[in-house]
Amino acid sequence: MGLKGIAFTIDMLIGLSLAIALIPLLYSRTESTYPEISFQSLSYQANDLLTVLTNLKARSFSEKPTISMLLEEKIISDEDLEKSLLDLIGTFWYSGNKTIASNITKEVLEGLSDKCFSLQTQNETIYSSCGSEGKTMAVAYAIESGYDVGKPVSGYVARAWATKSKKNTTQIIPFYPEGSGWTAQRLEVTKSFALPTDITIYNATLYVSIHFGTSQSQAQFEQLKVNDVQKKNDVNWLYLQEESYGSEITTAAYGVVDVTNEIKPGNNSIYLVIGTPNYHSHLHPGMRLIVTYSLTQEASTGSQSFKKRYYFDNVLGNTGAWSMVSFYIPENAKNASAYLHLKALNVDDTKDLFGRNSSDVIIYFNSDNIFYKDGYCSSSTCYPLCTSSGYYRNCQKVGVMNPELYLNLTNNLTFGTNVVSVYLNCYGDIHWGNKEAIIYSDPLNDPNGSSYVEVSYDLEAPTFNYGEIDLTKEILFGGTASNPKTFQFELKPSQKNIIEAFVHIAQGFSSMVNVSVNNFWIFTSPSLRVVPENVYVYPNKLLLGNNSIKIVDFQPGGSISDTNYILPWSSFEYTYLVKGLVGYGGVFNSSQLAIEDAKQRLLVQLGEEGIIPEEMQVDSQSVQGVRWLWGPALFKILVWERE
Amino acid sequence: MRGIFFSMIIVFLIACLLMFFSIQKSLISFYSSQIAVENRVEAMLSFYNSIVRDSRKSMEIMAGRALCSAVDYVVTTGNPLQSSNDTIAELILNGSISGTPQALMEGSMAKDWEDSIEYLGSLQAFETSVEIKDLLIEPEDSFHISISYSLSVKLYDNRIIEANLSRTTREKVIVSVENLEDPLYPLNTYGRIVNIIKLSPHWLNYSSEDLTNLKDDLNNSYYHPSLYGASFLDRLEGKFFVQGKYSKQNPVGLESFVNKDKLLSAGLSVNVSATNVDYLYFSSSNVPAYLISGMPTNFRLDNETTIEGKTHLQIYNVTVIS
Repeated sequence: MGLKGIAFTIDMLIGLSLAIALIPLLYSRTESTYPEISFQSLSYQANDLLTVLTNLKARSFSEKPTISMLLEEKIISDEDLEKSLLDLIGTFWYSGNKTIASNITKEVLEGLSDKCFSLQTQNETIYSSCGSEGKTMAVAYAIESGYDVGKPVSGYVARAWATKSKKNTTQIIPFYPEGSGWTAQRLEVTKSFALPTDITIYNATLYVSIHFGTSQSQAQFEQLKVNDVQKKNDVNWLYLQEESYGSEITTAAYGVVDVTNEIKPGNNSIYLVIGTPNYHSHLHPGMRLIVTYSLTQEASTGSQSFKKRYYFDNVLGNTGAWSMVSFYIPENAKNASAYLHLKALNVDDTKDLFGRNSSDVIIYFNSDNIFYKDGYCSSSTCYPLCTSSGYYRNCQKVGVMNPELYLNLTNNLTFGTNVVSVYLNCYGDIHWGNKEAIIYSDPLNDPNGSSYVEVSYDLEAPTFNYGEIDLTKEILFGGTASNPKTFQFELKPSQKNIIEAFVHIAQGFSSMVNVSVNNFWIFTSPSLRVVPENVYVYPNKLLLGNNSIKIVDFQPGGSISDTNYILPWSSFEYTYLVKGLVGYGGVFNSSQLAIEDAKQRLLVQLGEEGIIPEEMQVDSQSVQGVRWLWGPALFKILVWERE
Repeated sequence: MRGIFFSMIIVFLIACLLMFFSIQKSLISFYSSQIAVENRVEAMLSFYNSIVRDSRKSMEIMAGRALCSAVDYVVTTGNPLQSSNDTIAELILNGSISGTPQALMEGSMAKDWEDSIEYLGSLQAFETSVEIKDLLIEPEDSFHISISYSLSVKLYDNRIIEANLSRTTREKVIVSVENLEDPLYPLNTYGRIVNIIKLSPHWLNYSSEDLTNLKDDLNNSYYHPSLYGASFLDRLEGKFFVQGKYSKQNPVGLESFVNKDKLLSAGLSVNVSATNVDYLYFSSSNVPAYLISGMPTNFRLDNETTIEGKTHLQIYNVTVIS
C-alpha cells in the first residue's frame, strides 16, 4: 500500500512535470495580449496629447512661462492666443524660432503624461521628453496647413504708385490745309500755340507742305519764322513735284526743318509767307510741327466732360482766304455739340453782274452742300456770276466787311472726323475781290475774339482712371510716295489701351481722300480738297499686333488720282495709357523687401514705356501678415514606455 | 486501476491545457485584429477630424488672401467690385476675379488645399475626396467677415480594411478686416489717400472735457462701428452706405473721420463745411454739419444716428459751437 502510494505519487508527479514542461512550450506558441493593450494605451495617450494641442487654444496656457513671456514682450498679441497650441507651436517652429516652439511643447505636455513622448513635424523633432526612443511607439497625426520646411509662415505685400512721373511724349501741332494768295500775291499764315510750360523739349521738327511757285525754280518761299527766327533757308526739301496743266506749271513741295532750338515751353508762333506768280498758294495736307518733350505729370483721373477749342490759324490771303479745320467726336460721346466762331477781316463785299449780293463768306461743314453763305449762290459751288479773267472773277466791290459769325454745328455733327471749311472771297480755284481777306485768329492774346470751333461732349466713363498715364507717339509711314498708299504697323501688348489715334496725311497735290484702317472705313472727304490734317481713328478698330492703314486720293468722279501722291511723311499718331501703379506682388519676409519689390516692379513697368517715376509714393503698411497656404504639414505625436 | 485513473486525469489535464491555450490563441488573434480594425477606423476618424479642423484654418488663410486680392483689384484698377461677396467666393474657389487669375491666390485657393489633402490621404492609404463649395460670405460685425462653406469629405479604405466615411458638414470661419486697406478712400481720392482699417483704441471713450481721444481718431482716421456707414463688403463695391444685402440685426457698418489736412496735402480739394464722417463726406450728402468746440477749424460733425441709438454728436460726446 505504501509502495503503491509512492508509485502513484511519483507517477502523478512525473505527469505533472510533463504537463508543466509543456506549458512554456505551449505558451511560447500562443500570443500574448500585452503588446496590443500596451500599444492601445500608448495610442490613447498619443491621441489625447494631440487633442490637447489641436483643440485647446493658446489662451488656456497663457500662464505657462514661455507664452507668458512672449505676451509680456509683445512678441505675440492677444489675437495669437486664439490660435490652437499646435498652430502657435507650428508658427514659431517654421518661422525659425525653434527653441520657443520646443519650450511651449515641453511646458504644455510634460505634466500631462508619465510616458515618453515626442512631437515631430516633417522628420524634425520639435520636442522629445526622453533621450532614447522605445521599441513600441504609438503615433497620432494631425495635419496643419500653412507650414512647410524652409518656408515663411506669413509675409508682407506692398504696392506702389507714382504720384508724379516724368514722361517723354509727343505733341503734334497741325497746320490746316489753308491758303489763297493769288497771282504773285502773298499768303501769310501765322500759327500761334501754347505748349505746357513745365516741359523739357528734346526735339521739335517742322514739316512744311506747301503749294507754291510756278515751277521749282520760280518758287516764292519768302518767310518761315519760328518765334521770329528765320528758318526758310534751313528747310530740307524732301519732295518737290512739278505738274503742268497746259501752259500752267505749279509745284507741290514737302520739306523738313529742325526747330528744336527755336520752339520753347509756353507760347510759340510760326509765321509763313509764300506766293506764286500765276496760281494760288496754299498749305497742303501734312504740314505740322512735332514736338517731343518730357513732362512731369501728376497722377490724376481723366475727365468725363470735354470742351475743346480748335483755333484757326491766322490766314491772310491776297485775294481771298480759306481754311479747313478738322476736329473729332469720339464714337462713344454723348451730348455732343459744336459751334463755329468766325471772325473775318477785310472781306470784300461784292455784287455780281445782275447786282445781286455775291456770297463772299461761304462755309461748308461735313458736306459738299453749303452750310452758310452770306449772299446769292447759283449752285453749291457758289462762284459769283461776274466776268472771268482766268481764275479771277471781276465782281463789283461795294465795300469791305469784318463779319463775325456764331454758327451752331451741332445738328450736322458726325462721330469721327468733322471738317469745317471757310472761304472768304474765293472757292476752289476761283477768287474775287481786290485785296487781302483775313481769317482772324490770335488764340494766345485774344482767345475769345479769334476764329475757332468749340466742341463739347460727355463720355460715360473717364478716358483714363487714376494711376494711368497717357503717352502719345507717332510713327511715320515711310516707304515711297504713292497713291494709294498702305502703311503697316504693329502695336505691342503694352500699347493695348489706346484712347486716341489719328492719321496725319501728307500730300503733294490732293483732291479727295478715302481712309481705312484694317479694312474698316474711317473717313471720306465730303467735298473737293477736304483732306483734313487729323483723321480720327476709332481706337476699337485697332488691333494688337499687325495693323494697316490705307489712304487713297481720288477725283470727284471717283477715279484714283494719277499724280496726287500720299507722301512717306504721313504718320499715325496714337495715345495710349500706361499704368502708373502696381498692385500687390509676391509675399516677402519683411515689409522693406515687399516695398523694394513694388518699387522695382513699378520702375520696370514704367521704364519700358520711357517713363521715370520722379516721386514714388509707396504703400508700406497696407497688408502685413499675409499667411501662406503651404503644406499641409504633418505633425506627429509619438508616445512610448519609459525604459 | 488507480494508475489508469490517474493517468487519465493527467491526460485530461493536458487536454484541458491544450484547449485553453488554443482558445486563448484564437481569442488573442481575434482581439488583435479587432484592435487593428479599431486603430484603422480611429486613424480614419482622426484624419477626417484633422481635415475638418484644417479646412477652417486653410479657409482663414485663403480668405485673408482673397480679401487682399479684392482690395488690390479695386485700388489698382479704380473699379469697384460688382458684388464683393461673390468675388471673394470666386477668389477662394478659383483664384480669379471675373475669370482673371490673381497673383496672390496662386497656390492658395480651395482646389490647391483639396489636392494636398487628397495626396496626404493617399499616403495614409485612404482614397480621399474633399470638396469645398457653397460659400456664403457676409459681414459678421463691423470688423469681421463670416465665411461659411460646405465641406464634403469622402474617405475610403479598401487596402487594409473595408471601410468608408462620407460626410458633408457646414463649417464657418470669421476673418478680421483690420489691417486691410479701406477701398473707399482711394476710390474717392484718385488713389492718393490710403487708409488702413484699424479699430479706434478710444472707441466709446470720448470725453467732452478732454478731446485728446477724438483728435487722435481724427489724426489717424481710426475706424468705428457704424449703423449706416458702408461695411467692408460695401466699400469694396464703392458704396457709401450699408446695402440691404449685407445688413444684419447688429451693426456691420464702418466709419472713420476723413482727415481734411491729409486730403489737402495730397492736392485734393476739400469741402471744409462737410462732416468729417467718411461715408457722408465722400457721398457728398448734404447733412448739416457742425463746428465742434476744441476741434480743428476744418472739422465738422453731423448729428446723424449711429449705433446704440445715439447720434454722432452724442456718441463722440462733443459740444457744438453755435
